[in-house]
Amino acid sequence: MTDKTKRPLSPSRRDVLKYGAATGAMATAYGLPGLSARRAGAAAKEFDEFKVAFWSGTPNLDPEQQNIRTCLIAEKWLFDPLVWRDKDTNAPMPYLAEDFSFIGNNTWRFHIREGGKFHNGETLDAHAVKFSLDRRTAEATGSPFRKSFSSVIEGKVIDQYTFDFVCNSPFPMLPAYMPTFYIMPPGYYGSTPKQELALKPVGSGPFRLLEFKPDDILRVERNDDYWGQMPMIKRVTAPVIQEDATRVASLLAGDLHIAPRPVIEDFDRINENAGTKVSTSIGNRIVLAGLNYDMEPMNDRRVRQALNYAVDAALLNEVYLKGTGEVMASALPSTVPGFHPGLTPYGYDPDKARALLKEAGYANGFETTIEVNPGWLIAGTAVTEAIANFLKEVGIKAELQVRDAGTLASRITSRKAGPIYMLSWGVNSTFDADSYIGSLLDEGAFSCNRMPEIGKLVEAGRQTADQNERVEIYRKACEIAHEEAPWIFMYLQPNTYGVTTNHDWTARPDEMIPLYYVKSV
Amino acid sequence: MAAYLLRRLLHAVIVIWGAATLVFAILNFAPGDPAVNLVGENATEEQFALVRHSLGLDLPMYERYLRYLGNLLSGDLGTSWFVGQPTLDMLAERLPDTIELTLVAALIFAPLAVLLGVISAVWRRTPLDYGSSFVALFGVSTPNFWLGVMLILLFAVELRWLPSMGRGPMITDAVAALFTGDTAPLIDWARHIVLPAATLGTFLMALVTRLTRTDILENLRRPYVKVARAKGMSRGGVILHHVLPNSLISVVTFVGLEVGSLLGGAVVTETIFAWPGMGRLMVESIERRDYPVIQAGVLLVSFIFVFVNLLVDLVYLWLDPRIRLK
Repeated sequence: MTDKTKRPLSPSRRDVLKYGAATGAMATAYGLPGLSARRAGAAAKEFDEFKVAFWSGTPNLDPEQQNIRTCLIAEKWLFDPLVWRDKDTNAPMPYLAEDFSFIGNNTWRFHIREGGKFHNGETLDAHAVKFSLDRRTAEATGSPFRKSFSSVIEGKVIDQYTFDFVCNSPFPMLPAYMPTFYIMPPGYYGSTPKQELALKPVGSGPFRLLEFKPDDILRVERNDDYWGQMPMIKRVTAPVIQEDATRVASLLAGDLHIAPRPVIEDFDRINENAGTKVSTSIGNRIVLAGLNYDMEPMNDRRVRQALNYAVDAALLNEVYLKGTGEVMASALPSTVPGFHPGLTPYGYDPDKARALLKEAGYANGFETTIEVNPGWLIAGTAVTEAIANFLKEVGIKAELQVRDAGTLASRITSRKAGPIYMLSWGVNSTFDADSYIGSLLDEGAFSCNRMPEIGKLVEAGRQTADQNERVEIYRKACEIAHEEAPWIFMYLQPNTYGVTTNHDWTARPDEMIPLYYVKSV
Repeated sequence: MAAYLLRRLLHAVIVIWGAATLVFAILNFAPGDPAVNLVGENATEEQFALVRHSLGLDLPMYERYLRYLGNLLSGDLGTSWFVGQPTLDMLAERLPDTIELTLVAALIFAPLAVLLGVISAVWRRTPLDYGSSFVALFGVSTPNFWLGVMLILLFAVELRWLPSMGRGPMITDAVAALFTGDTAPLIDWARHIVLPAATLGTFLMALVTRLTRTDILENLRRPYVKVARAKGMSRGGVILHHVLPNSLISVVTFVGLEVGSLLGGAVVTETIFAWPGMGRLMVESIERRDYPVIQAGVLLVSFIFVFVNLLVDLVYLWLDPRIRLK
């Protein structure tokens, strides 16, 4: 998360992001995020008001009624999870939990920090964790996160501050899923109508609610009774500003401290303006051009490999992302444990692409279709048109079909998309390999390919809590995916923000904007 | 008279039913699946099916339509799938902001346009005329989305005179504060509304300027102007007391009709300025495919149009005896 540079990560930083999460997921006693640092920076200047824009609507602040990214960001201000991600290493770290560990018998044990209180005065303990788990997994709640916790078969309160998640398998993904599992006060959430919960969230987080108008504005104030690091921000105002140009203009005018997702064309303007800069980070969102195995000629590996040689993903990264992305060689981004550092991207080689096509019986190329929802990726239409132009160079005539998000998603999930379809995938910042490989390959919900070998590896990865073993399993899966080329491998998309230079917040890989540690500079 | 009223009311009901049916058809026949937006990218086909079932999206189209009409007849406009609130409450919260913006735009820019039109007509073929014609041409040919951003860049980024987005205090609170001698809320309100109102009102101003100019020039050729001048009335007096009132009839009628169109323009303006009105709510709901909000929003706008038209017809009925006789 270097600022104003084409390549945002120094090598050492990149390595930390690549491997930090793998080691961090295991149970160890971490340095506390809060209590020890509670008065850190007490001499620093406080912000009376800090302004952050949301780039799309915030309809609902009940953590179990939606999984919209903007809402997840706002919820982190109001709620606390048991496990959170370190801002420097991106590794899972205990947060409300003092520590956690896999204790065998498919059970994960969490020790909850003592002394925590919800904003309404209720006690934060293992009973609150039990309530929150039951609420998430109850069918009546209709939580979009229910599926991710389907392996948890029981929650056990061992004592007031000790809680067990009993699973039907080792469920090694549990720590990775924890940062979006917010703990709620049982008294309030057990007795308040669902409609009211959407508008009046009560958590234990560093900020408490002042005002919330869905899809318009959110105002929160500092929770002066917070158990953890006391924010240097007294109040946060977060308007929804959908228009890209307005967000950037508001940043330049001094009306915002953080303006997410500026368009790449505005980077120079933000960097050249006194008092503002662009902050980027490689993150969790990969961009790919999926190939549908059910449609000829994508069932031929040689054709799929030819497409990978035909498209210059590195050039697309340079042109459309100003080099802030990271070209991929296989199914996992470098920020996810299981990424295979030994694989190199296919690279641009049109001659090799033509040779492979000739070998597959398509010496004169063929006609195909690329489906795209432009909103799913940065410069969606332009990138897809560029891909079509690259394919034309090797004799493949690709017609573009622009689809809306719902249409394309349902075409992919029903395996009717393509033969080529553009997709970006971020999976709620879990940074767990299963969320990518398990969903995008073989029998995964968003897969249009058939790779039974990978299906077996996915199952194997779910049956062990040994993270090192899992890393090996997914590396094997990456090797197979690289060879089989179920997608045109593109790049890891950056998370981008325009920020003012009077504070120290920088872009994070997990797409979140926590503010409890922000200090003035 | 009663028969005429009944007929107009029947027309209104048919139009609203037509709008309700049309929006239902457009949403439900359009490709795509709202369930995908609701459960997100992690979901399985099983989860999608569950959500579709809970929303009734797996029912046959005719059954969904009959349910929808039944709910409408019982006054139930539905609950937002994403916000979880009754759509009527959501629209009721947003509509006043849109009306406020639209009215301010009309009230500032329509009189300004009349003034420009008069200047343009009175000083025909002078630099003043060319200047106001340029303003009119600029207003007609400038799209909202461009003008709004340019105004932000000029007045908020470069000059730093005005805020770049959002709304200030409610006008009611600002006026109430005025009675206690506190002018700050009203100034804050004005600072926030001036750019979106200018963006929204520019197109209207351009049209009204041209209309006023044409109408005044036409009236200036009429015999009554010559008579008034022959009787010794000054040129300014004739324009102010005779020509302008005559021209204003058509101008006011036009502005009345155009205010309805401003509601449409507010969709773009509200999005650019993050103004918390109904247009922005509709954009957000369309992106998410929040069918109940879209249907209720379209229905509400149709109702407003039909109601205003009905009102105009009734006013004409009162004004013009010929209609009553027919």
